[in-house]
Amino acid sequence: MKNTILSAKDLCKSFAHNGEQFHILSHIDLELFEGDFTVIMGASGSGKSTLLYALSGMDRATAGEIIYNGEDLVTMSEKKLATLRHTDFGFIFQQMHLVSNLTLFENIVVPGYLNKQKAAAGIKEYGEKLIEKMELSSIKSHLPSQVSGGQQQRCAIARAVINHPKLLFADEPTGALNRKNTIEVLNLLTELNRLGQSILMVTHDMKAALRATRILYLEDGKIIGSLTLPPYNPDDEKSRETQINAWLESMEW
Amino acid sequence: MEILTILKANIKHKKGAFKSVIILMFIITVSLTAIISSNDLTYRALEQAMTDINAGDLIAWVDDSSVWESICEGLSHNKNVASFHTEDVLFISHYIINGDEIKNESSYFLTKWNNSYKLFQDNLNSFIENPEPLQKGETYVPICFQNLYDCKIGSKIIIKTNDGDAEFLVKGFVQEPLNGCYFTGIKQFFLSDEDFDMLMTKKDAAPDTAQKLMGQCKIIHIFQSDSSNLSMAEWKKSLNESSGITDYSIIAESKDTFMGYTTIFPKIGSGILYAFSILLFVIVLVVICHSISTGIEMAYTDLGILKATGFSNTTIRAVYILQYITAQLIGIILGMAASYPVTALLGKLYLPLTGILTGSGISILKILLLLLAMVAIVCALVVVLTAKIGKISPVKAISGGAEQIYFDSRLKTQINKRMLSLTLAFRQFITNKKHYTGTIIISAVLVFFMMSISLLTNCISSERFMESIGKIPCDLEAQLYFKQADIMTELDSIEKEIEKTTEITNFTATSIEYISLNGVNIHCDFYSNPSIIEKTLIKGRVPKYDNEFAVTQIVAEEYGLHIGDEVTLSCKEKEEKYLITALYQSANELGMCISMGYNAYKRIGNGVPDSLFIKLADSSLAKQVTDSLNQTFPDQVEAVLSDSDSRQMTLIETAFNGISALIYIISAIFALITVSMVCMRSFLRERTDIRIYKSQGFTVQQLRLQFSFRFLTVSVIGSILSVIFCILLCPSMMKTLLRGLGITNFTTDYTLGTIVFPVCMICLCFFLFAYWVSGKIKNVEVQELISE
Repeated sequence: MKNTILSAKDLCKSFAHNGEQFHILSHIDLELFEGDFTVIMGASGSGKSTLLYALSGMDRATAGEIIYNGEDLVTMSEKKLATLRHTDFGFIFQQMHLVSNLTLFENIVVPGYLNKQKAAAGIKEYGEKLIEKMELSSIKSHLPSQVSGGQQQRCAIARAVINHPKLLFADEPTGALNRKNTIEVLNLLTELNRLGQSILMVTHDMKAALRATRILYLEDGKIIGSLTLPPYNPDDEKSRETQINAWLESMEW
Repeated sequence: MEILTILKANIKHKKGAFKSVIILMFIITVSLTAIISSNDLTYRALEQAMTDINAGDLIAWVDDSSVWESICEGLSHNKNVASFHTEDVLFISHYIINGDEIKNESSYFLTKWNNSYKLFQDNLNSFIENPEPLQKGETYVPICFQNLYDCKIGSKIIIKTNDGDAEFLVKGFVQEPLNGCYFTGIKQFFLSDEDFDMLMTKKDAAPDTAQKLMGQCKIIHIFQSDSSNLSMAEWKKSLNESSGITDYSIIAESKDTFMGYTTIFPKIGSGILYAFSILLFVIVLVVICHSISTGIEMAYTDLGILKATGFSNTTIRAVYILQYITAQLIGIILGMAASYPVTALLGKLYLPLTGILTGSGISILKILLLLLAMVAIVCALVVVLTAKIGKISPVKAISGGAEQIYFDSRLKTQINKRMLSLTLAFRQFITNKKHYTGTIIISAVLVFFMMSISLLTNCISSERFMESIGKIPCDLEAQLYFKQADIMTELDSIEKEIEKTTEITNFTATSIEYISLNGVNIHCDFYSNPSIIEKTLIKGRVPKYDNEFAVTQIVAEEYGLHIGDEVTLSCKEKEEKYLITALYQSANELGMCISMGYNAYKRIGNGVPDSLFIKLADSSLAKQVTDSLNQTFPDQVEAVLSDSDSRQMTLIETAFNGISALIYIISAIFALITVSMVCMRSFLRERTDIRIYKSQGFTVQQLRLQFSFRFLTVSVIGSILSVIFCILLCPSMMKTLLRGLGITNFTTDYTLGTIVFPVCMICLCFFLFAYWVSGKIKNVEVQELISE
């Protein structure tokens, strides 16, 4: 039996435009489990990213609750949410969004410095380890503009895990990468998950979805299907792809 | 149409910058319009008042009754005279005005009331139509008596005659264009015909032994004939040759000289405000430079899209030009409307000093020409700055290929966990030098501006103003009764006597002599210490040698004299050649005077200094020094504390304080707008970074402090540069600027107030406004980083 790390209940997100109400997320109930590599899929405009941002506390839901560590993120103060972002959560963006005037190494360690529980030396040491793991050692003093997209995204992943987050959120992390870089990034995420990192990722890329241990399908702001898979093994990629494809077809993807 | 569409969109989405230009232009328009209009209105009102009283082109006061007839005879035969008329006045030398007793000064005159003079309403906003004629025992006095003597309606004026006292009650206040100005020593007040005739009978009542307390004088108004093309100096000379009028007059000056004297305060006040407006405009230009260059950088992609859709460089640049013209024109229109009450306010501020009630309205045409010239300068600047739009490649811009904002700095500063916000702020600063260079320049200019304003407001103290117009700074004054033989020795012994008590900062003995210059007698001040005129110099240097002297600008203009000219000066029988070394400014004899050292004067004159002005290092010892001088030199020195001008000083101080306050308020508003505009621009540029930091767990407070510290750093760097530049450049720059505007007494006193206050104010403004602007960080949504 897996432990629930984060849960959402009756989650709604809507906005009004020209007097008309638009519902992006509609009464979503969901549980994320420790150690899972959860992927959210769905057609464009189905609300995938909105759900990801609501669950990570980067955006406020209109109604419902998101429980993390016994606290509701929907009503949590901005200050507490900020703390949560550098202690418990990590985030990877599609467009990397590295701070352009910080070196790759600095981009990684700065969120670590925010964590008052940890000493600077420890953060630097772990940063060095991550840099090495991400194969960025030789370019760690480079600025983001001086490295490739794949290298930037690897840096963004290292940044996201510098504080040993309990849950890692990724928004189409391979969306802006070429094939080679996509595989590199996915391998890294898979490796992190294998080491126990819980991940929630939004994607519409089948190659990325293959790495999931659980897939949620979103349509019109509602979760209409869920697929549980064994941990990723490159040797059974083919059969895994067939299985996911069949399931997605049943979702009318 | 396409230009209009883009223009409307730009204005709608870049309201901040648009509004800032409007406000900055509004402030400049209000300042300039108010200054120019109030000057014009004062001059026009004064000219009208002169016309109303039928003032001549030359006005002379002649007290020697034996020459009246010959003067009139001489004038009537002079072909350069169109007409002349005379009026009888009585001069008085002992009188009590509202409790203030004045003796031994024959510069106050009594005259019959006539309705050509205007009488003020109680509220001083307008004149009384058809004022009542004066009854016996009533008097109308110039408006400046309100401040000079605290006179009110019903105040008592006692005139001492050799045949008893005559008492009058003040019935109203008059606009007196000739001598009604606060600064003129001559004053006249008005009596009923009956009273005037009664006093006329008493003028000769003095017994032979007594001092004559009253005498008759004629004011002669002379009009130059239309056919005469002589300059004022030539005309005056011609009048003197035919009638001896200037030789026999107490005063004989042109109408323009009287008008110049009356408007001396508005001129100096306006000079300062002009200098202030020029500095404001320089700031506006710097701000516009910054705004345009950052605007282009921020709109890089949009500009690429516009170009890709067929917009030419010219069209895009036209949009920018139109945008700035629109903003400026709105500022100008609003500013002109708002300047009506400000002009009226300045008029009110000047009224107690000029004695002239100004009308309402503004000098639209003159202002419009000036402001349109400013708009043209801004347009030229926009054209130059937008030239780089031509270099934007549409493809590069659209594909996000904007030039890297950040670059690898050689300054490798560490990001420190303990001082995370500070080190990040510093990194942001050093890796973004290009952008912050502009901000540094703006903060430097603002500090320079504030420092200049502080120095300016320092220079507009009443004491400096009085020094500017030739008043010798002193704590005590003394009448001297020395003979020529021992004058310098005696002065030395006085100096030594004073130095037993305290140090002396100024010790000047002086006197007046009428010296003939080009055949016309002119007031000459000679000084034991000729460098006393240093602070009033407009051009040239203080006369050092025995063959040198200085002339006022008015004298130079009237007689066509220049520095370096050799002039023959004569006094009684002696005449010598002298060189002009300087043009200076003086209020003595309405500015119609010359000045030289005592040794230079001795070559032609036999007079000795009869007045001594002493300024002590410790003014609180003035009373002690006065007593000691009177005791030590009982027969040669009659010393008194110098407080005769204190009331005058208070009024000037009030007026100058008003101008200073106006300058400070406008400067503060200006600084706040500029700072907020710069901070807002930076905030917009850095929104993405702010989102990233926020997504990494930085709190709003941390980011705000980071943002604000950066601007604090920038403003401190700008301030340091500015202080250096100000110390190097400000003295000569301000001197040149103010001299051009007729203000001679500008000394740069660097004090805590002139350096620390502006620096603190601007740095604080930058910090607080950056903090305020960064309040929007709360609304910066992290989800905008999402690419759905």
